[in-house]
Amino acid sequence: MSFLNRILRLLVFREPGAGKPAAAGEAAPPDGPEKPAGRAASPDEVLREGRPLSRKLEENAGILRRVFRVPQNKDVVMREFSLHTDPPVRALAVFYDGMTDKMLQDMAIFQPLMLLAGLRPEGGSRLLEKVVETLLPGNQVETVSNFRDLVDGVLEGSTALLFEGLDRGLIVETKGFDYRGVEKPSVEAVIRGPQEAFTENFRTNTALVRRILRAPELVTEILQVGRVSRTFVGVMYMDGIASPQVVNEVRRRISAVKTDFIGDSGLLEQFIEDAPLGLAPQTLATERPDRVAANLAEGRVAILVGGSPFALVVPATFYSVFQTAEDAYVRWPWGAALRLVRFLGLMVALFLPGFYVAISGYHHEMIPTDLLVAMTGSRERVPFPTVVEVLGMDLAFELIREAGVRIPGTVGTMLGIVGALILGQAAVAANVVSPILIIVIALTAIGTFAISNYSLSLSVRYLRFAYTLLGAFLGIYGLVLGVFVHVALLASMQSFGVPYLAPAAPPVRSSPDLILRGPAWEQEVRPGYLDPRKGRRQPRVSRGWLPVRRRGRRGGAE
Amino acid sequence: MRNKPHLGYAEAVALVTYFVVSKVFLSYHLTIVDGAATGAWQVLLFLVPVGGGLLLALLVALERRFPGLSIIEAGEVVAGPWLNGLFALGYVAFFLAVTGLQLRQFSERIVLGLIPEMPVSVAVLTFVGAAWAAAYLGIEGIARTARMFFWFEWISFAAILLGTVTFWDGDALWPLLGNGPLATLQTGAVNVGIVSDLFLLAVVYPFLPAGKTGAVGRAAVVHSTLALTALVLVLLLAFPYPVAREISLPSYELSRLVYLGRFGQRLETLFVPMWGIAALVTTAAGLWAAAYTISRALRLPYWRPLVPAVVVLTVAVAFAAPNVPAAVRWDNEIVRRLLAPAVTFGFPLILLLISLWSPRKAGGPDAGRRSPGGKK
Repeated sequence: MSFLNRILRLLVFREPGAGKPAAAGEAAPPDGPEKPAGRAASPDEVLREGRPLSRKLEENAGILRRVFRVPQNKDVVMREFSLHTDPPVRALAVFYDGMTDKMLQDMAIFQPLMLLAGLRPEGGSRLLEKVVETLLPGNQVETVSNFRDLVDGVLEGSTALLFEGLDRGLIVETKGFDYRGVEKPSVEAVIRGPQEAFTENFRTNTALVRRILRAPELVTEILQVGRVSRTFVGVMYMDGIASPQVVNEVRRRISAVKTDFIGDSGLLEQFIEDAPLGLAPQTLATERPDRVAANLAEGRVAILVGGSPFALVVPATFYSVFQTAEDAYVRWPWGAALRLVRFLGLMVALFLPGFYVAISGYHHEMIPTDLLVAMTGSRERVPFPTVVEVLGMDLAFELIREAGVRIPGTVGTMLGIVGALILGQAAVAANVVSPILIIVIALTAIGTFAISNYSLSLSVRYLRFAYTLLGAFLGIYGLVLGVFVHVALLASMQSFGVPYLAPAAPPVRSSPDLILRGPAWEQEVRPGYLDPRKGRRQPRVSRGWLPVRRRGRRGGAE
Repeated sequence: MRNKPHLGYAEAVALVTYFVVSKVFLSYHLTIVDGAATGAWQVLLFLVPVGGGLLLALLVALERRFPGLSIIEAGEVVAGPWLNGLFALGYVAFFLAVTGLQLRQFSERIVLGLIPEMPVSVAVLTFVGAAWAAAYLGIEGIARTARMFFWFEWISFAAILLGTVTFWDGDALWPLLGNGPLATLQTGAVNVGIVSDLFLLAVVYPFLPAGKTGAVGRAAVVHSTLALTALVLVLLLAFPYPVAREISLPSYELSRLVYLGRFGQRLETLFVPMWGIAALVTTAAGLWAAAYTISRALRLPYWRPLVPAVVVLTVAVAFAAPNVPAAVRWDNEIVRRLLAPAVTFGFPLILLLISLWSPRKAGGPDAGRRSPGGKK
């Protein structure tokens, strides 16, 4: 055996002794070398182990200095003061400068404690109770007994208070950092409907949703994800409507995420989605509180991430991603028409370049003769095959769009105009591309813009290149192969256990609300694929004001 | 999360219907028109419901005796591993033969109707590649894909048939009884293998909603009767009987007839998605069924690793025929007349008779080993 091991080592070029199992007593701890006996616990250990607070204020202050890297870290303020008692009790306030409301701190913490206390020095816990009950008018005061909770409170923007002789501290809510206010949606703009969008502030976002859904059943569970960022992740759902299995699955996936940093819901999405290689978004990312509220009322679960102006809604299906909020806010015939137009845009964005390449390369018989002559004439001087023309212009367009997004404000708009008009015109004049191709690419671009969901739009933008190549190599047959595999992949995908193409495949009970939508009074049931606890959204006769004789079979019309 | 595939009623109907009906885009009509002349459509009108109904009754009777088991697992309980091994070999041969020969015919159709410059090998390989991808995803994905396109297929098919209405000639159907009632019955009996694709139900039993096999089969038989009969009827209406005998791809020829004015002619390419998707669903289902049958017969816990091997065998079958007329003849005269009736009617009948003769061999899922259908 030892001979074999030697041979193996020679083969893999390992030094003798390398990788040898450590002898008893030599084992290194998993987190690095063993600390010398008597050395103070590292800040990480203090937090990981949740070390209890000491009764000695100086010892607590020392540990907090190490945890917060004071004096190198200038953001942290450790303000020592004395309670206005007889004799005075030493106290320590710890907070991050810039994350707290200074006025609130002065008025609701330091002033009462330093000037108005007037307490007799009593036993430890009694003093703490007195302070909480009579001296701190802050709306949220929490008692903590270990460093982990205390540090978490400070990191959130609260003020931590420690007192000499007490092994417990107080976390007083004093958050006061600046953040962007509620503004109009920038990605999901609507003409009719609410004009509010989420912000980067977690609590503002939960409040925006709760303001729409004024129901005690609306539950917000808060988890923390990210070892370094400790990002707040809120799981919102309607208790009694949302399926407990879905809620548990959402909770389970988020809790199981192990990473350092979650800076946005887009990052979290990648950790919790079912199929990372899936061809379409498996969560619905939205910046609209009204859309989140509507989905919660349907039985879905919303995930709000601290610092992100986009909430995630799960489970998502192709249809939920495809729809917009406005579809529901306009009268149903026009809502249905808008969706049809958008579906047409989706088809054009995905297939038009590939279709053009296919018919111009292989299926001339499909093109009416006059058009064929015109196309051939316009292509006569172009020195490239059609597929090169299409791919070149498509890439140029993607470049213009990407540059337009990255360049600030009006310059971006200018770049779009310059790129689209001048470049296109110049390309045609230089006989690099044919005029009809400009029409094809322009229509494709407009189709892409009609897709409301950014993730879906990205998916369509890049899959289009695959369809163009399929059309170039195999004609319409290639497009059919692509569509088949594409749909099969989508049909096999799931979002939190829900088939992605439901309720079309598999067919599940649902209200008329897919590519077309029915009247609001026909949206009687919640989607069956969500397995909601309450299946019915409204009674059969939802327009109760109608005279009985006019209520009709579907409850809404004669 | 759930592992075992589950096919709902609508997806199962779509899947089985595609598997039976996709031959409308090939040359199934040849032997029937040859045998029954202008009465060919009556052959299908009676053959599909009667033959399909018989096969369905057989499969449902077998399923009732072995609820929750596929025919391979039920066969092992009834006939033991050795005899059932032979049966399973027959099932696999059936799926490989049907899928392979259809693959060849569809590929030839692509070359003939779409890209004449393309070598048939490229058509076969690209086609089977796409079907392979879907087969690898599993029967749930295939069935849902089938369901997604189901009504699109029907509408496109109806558009082809109705688009030729200006070419219909009612007199072409006369004499109404073709070569006579006896010839009609005889042709129907000989070609009963046309409905043998319903046998797919026996493989997907465990994934269907409990007690719905009969309903799924009935719906598939109705759809199949309509589609298979309508195509031959319209073919005979649009082309005189002697011409209809010579047409190898009736749906293609009919689609070429569609003329909607100056700007709506030569639309056969627009119908490619219709027959292309149907053919791909059928091929993917055939690949999956063969792989699944082998895995069950060999008691392997996984079927996915077998898909590449099945693809290779299917392509081998596709290229075994020296040319497309040979592939059509093998399909119509060997597979559909000999292999398919023996495997899909004969084997289940034998199993049913044995289980009736020895009632203790009947039972539920616990009668044999449990179906590990969830493992992929």
